[in-house]
Amino acid sequence: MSKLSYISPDGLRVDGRRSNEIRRLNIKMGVSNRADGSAYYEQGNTKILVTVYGPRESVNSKSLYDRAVVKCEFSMSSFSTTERKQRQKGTDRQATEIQNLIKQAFESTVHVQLYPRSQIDIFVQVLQSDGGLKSASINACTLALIDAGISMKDFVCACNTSCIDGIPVLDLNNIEERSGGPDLLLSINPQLGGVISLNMDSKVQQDLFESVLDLGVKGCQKIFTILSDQVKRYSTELMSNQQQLQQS
Amino acid sequence: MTISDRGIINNHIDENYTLYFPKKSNSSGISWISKEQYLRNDITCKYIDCKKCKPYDTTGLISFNYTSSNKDKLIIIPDIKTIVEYLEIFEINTITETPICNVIILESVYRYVQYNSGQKFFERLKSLLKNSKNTSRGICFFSNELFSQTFQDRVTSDSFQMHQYRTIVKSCQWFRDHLQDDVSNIKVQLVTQDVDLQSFVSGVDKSISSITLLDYLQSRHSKNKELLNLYDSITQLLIEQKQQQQQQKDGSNTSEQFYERYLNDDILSSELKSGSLFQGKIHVNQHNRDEAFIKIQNQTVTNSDKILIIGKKNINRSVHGDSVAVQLLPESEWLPSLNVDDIDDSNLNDNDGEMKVSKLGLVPTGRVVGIVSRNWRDYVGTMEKDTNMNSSFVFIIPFDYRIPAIRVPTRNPQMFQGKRVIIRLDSWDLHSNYPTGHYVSDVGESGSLETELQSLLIEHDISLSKWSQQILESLPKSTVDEPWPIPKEEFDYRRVLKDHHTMSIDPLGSKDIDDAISVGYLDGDNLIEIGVHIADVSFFVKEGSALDIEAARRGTTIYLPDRRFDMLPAVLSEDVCSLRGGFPRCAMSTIWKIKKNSNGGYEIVDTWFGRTIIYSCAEMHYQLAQDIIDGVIVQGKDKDSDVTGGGQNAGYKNRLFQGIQISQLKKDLLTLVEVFRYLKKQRESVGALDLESIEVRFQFDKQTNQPEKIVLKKDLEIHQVVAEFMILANASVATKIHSHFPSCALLRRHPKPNPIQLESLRYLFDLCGFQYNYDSNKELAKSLHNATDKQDHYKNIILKLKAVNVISEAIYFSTGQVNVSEFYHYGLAIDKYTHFTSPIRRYADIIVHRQLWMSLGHKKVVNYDDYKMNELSNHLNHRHRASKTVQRDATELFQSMYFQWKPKDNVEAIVTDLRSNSLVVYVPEYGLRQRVYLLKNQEVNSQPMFSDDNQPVRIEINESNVVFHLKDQTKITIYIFDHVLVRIYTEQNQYHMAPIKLELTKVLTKSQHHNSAQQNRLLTDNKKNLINETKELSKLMSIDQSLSSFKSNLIADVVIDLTADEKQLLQNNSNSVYNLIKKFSVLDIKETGSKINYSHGKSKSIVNSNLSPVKNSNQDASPTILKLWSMTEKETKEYKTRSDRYLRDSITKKYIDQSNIVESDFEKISPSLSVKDKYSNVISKAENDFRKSTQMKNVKKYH
Repeated sequence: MSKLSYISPDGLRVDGRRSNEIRRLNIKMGVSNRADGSAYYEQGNTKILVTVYGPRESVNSKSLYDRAVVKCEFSMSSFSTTERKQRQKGTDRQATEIQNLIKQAFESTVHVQLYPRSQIDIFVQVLQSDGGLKSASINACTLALIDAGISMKDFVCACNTSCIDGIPVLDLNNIEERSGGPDLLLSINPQLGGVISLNMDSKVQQDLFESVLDLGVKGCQKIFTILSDQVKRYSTELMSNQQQLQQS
Repeated sequence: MTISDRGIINNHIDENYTLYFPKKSNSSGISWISKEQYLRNDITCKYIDCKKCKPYDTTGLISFNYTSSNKDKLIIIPDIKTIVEYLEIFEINTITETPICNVIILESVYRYVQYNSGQKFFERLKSLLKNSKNTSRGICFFSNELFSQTFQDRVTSDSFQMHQYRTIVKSCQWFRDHLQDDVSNIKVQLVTQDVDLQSFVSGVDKSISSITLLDYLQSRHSKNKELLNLYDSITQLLIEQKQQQQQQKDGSNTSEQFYERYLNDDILSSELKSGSLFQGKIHVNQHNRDEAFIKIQNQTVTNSDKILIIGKKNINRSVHGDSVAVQLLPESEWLPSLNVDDIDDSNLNDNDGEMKVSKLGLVPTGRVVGIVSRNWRDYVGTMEKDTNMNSSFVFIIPFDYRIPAIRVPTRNPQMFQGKRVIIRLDSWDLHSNYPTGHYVSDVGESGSLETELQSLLIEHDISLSKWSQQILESLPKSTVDEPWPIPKEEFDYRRVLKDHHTMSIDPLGSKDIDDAISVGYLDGDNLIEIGVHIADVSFFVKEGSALDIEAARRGTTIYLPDRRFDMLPAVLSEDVCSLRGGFPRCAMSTIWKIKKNSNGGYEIVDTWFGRTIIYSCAEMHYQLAQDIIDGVIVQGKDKDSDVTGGGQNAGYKNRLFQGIQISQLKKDLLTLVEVFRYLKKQRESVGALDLESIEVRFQFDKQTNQPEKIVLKKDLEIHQVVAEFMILANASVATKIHSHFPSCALLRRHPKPNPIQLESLRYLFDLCGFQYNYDSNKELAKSLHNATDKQDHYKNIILKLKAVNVISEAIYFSTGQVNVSEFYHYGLAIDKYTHFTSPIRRYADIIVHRQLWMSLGHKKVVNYDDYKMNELSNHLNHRHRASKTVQRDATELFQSMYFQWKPKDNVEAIVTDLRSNSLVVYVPEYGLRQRVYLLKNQEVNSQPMFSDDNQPVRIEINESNVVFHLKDQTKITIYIFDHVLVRIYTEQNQYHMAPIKLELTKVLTKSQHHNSAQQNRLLTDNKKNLINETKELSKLMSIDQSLSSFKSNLIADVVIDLTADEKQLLQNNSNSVYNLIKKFSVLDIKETGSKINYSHGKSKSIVNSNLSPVKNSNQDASPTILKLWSMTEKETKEYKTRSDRYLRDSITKKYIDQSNIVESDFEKISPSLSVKDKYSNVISKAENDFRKSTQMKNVKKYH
């Protein structure tokens, strides 16, 4: 087999998207009754379930007197990739990285000072993985935290971009991720306009960087519009349910 | 935004599904891959006027133009097989005939090729699609598998082939329906050779018309013979291949298997990784196709950087240039290095024999066991003579010696008769001695200059088509009556340079003037402005225009001896862009403010860049400028013949504008020269190299267009002045654009040479007794500078030439690719350098202009990035190299033609190299470097130098000399740097360029002065010079006596007579002549310094005497004798005006006293002695020096 070409002469990518299109998004909030907040998030074939517990009293005495602590646990289901993997003991490098990423992202966005001496637990479970795990996890966490009714300054929207053959490309899938090109993860507060994290694997040319970053920002904004739409729909649904309950 | 129960997708996407398919993985059998696919609804039909597909998708890569010459509009959709087998037919794009156009390449076809036909073939298809954008042929890509309306889901019961059929039919149906009700009446046809598909189509949908490629070609392109011929030859080939396959299947193939089968790919790649096989590009010996080698990186195993592959069996069907995998043979079969050291000479001028001998003295040998990638291109060839006209195939012998004969199946061998044809290789069967190929097109009748040049271009992969209509229309208009005016708005932002004196200095007769220099005086002479103005090509060539793309593809203007291939159309290069005198012109300028320091030095206080409008007031050529500086040309002397050397339109009559005076020009030029001297000194002090290369020019016979005369380029100081300012401009611009585009500026660097290769020159320096040091460029420059032998200035030239060969080429690069520390330009000793000054003939300069303009804070025209810039720089480097090699080969072709018409006898040459079977000599008169074969198949090759009964029995070739053992027990030794006489002629060759052959006719002086000591050798050339002149004299006297016998132009006679005379002279009068020689040679040193002009040496004088023996016979001996002193005409004039008779006489007397030469003879010499006051001192000093040097030599020798 010859080398894959990631962009066809028509400018279409391997899965038929254009370079500035994101994959199909499918969102459900409040999927788990037991947790304080939960969300199911699909981006293409990447499927993630996030549950949030808290804010609740710290189990061990690592609590801070003036603010809440965000804790995150990330795990991949053994069936999430095409080949079933034996679960490893302890946490692997990728999981630790994503945990720290999420922890830092949300400690800065959640109004932690409102919940002193307490902790917020986020559990991320990957059901199926097809690229863009980090960005999908962050987006899913935002939804779950909203569902849990935790006070936040803004959404956190994340998106990964890359650059294939000199063309900036948005939202990579698994095949594109493995092309070995640069992988730029950007998460922003779309309304406040701040960058939460910017993380890049492998190199991108200096002159291209700006256009790649621009595309990333656009992608995040797009994701934000979708997420906020869904959140509004979900909350009106809840409201109407409540009204129905009250009426009955 | 579309919202469905499956999620949110944007509204260009109709549906998505997930594919699960198995994939074989390396480690554990089969793994499953899931792949998400989206089906779109925004794929357009690519028809430019389609009403339904509006808005037209502008992000698509291909613009589509159906409005071709065809009256009824037809779109063809080829199927997989047609593309795989006949892609070449689609690739052909000639200007004269309409090529195949309006083709839809389906994504299914594209994907099939991608996964099944190999990288190379896929690249061809890709570039076909990409190029059609520029040629408006309308070959375009249709993503049928991603389009919801043409997507065909695979029915599980269908075979793969059936699925393909369905897919193709569905797309055809869609196109038909889509375009049917359009007013323009467009027909869609499926092109297929496949009978199954045809029947399938008619079974499914009768309204889809299918057609075979042959029918299509005959109906549409019946005039285009080239297409039909190509179709024919491919079909023949396919039939033959099918037969062979059939035979193999039946097992009926009884023919012997010549070659070993290649290893299969998996084994090959794992073996290569493990290091048990070596990978490399195969280089075939030009002189012996059975010898080849590969260069390898890892030298630990073999102790050598090469592996030799000897013999057809071992080369195993690989062709020069292929990337092959090689297995080492056992050490017992390794070869001693001596047999093989000339394998590398395929490029005599490129990397001269740096064959590294392994420590064991053995060179490893190997055999090819696999092909990593074929690197076949188009080959020009000629049919083997005496071919049977009834056979079903012919053998084509390629132009390139390194390519084996190619078997071409054909029905019509007559077609190849007497022609040079282009052949493409297809395969090389195990059972065949020759590779199989097919005919592509023909170049022309073999033997004619035009055809040979065309062949050369094709061999070097240079395709130059005419300018397309689209480009020609976009050009600015300019005629003689109505010159192109500068638009008014240009005056708003450009600096108008009326206060400068602007002049251009170019070679005589050049029309594309891309640089001009201007001088402005700000504060008297202390603060001056010097500007370098470059034609503003980037103003005319807009980024991304058709012209821009074509210029980028060409990369550079190619200069061949009799023509050139422009990078830009003539309107631009010769008129609108060219900085001609008398017209206002747009320019891109660099202007320095230069302050004169109190200590005489200069200082650049300010550099200004920007666009300007200039008014050139003098359109000079080099010689004219030099003459103005030297004061030869003054106001009023405007005739062509006043200029040194003369030439058509050489005078300044039509070259000055705006009433400028010569005196003013002279002042400006002198200012430039003064600044130049200072700049050069500075640059040399940090290590700039001054390297020479041979540049040859031809003079053509006007009627026959055959090369008539070969001239070497001359170098004047003004050349250097212009060059120096260009270098300064380039360096300034490089710094500027690099500061603004840190990672994508297009610069030029010159890497440091490999010390091992530099070390390989040491023995040459040692041989002449020069110091050699190459640690830095400064020291190398010093070594080269000091390596001048005052008696033989060729030594210096040759050493420099050798150094040029060793030092690597300068290359373009994008600054993002290389570390800043490697930007250095080794040759020029400049930290950052680029090409800025010749945008008319180099594309790189256009890019640099754009970058410079953007770096000045102007609107961003285009986004440059490192990736693109790197691609571009690689492309430009490639073009540059190709143009250089084609230039070299074309020069060789012309030389070959020249010597075919006019074989030369007794031309002086210098031995520069020794090879295992030959000498390499340099013929300065013609700028020729060629080999003289001494051995032929280990046998001694007879040379006319030796008489028939005294041929050498054995030839011994050492590191620095060759020893001929003659029959009569005497030995003759030739050292490197020895001067010899050679005969130049060409050998008839039907298949190739007629090779230039050299034969030794004489070894100069060494043969006469066997016993003379080493120091005498230094005098050789002057001696020889003198001997010749003396010969001439005596000859002339004899001519006087026998004038009647000399009426006809008898070249050979003169030569023979002269040698006879020479012998006589030596025998009779050796002592006195020797004395004279000694004196004269010493004089000669000082007289002309380093500027000894050797073209006035022996050979020339013989030629002179050949040309005008009758004239010479009229006692007019002085011109030839003048040459003895190598006096320039200037000196002669000076001498004449002064007429320092007294001094001359006194010195003449001195000589008469010292030598016993006949009085009458001497009188002929004396009038032309250019003796000035200084000589009395100088002579004695020179004598002292000489004595010292000989003593030194002796001392050295004894140590």
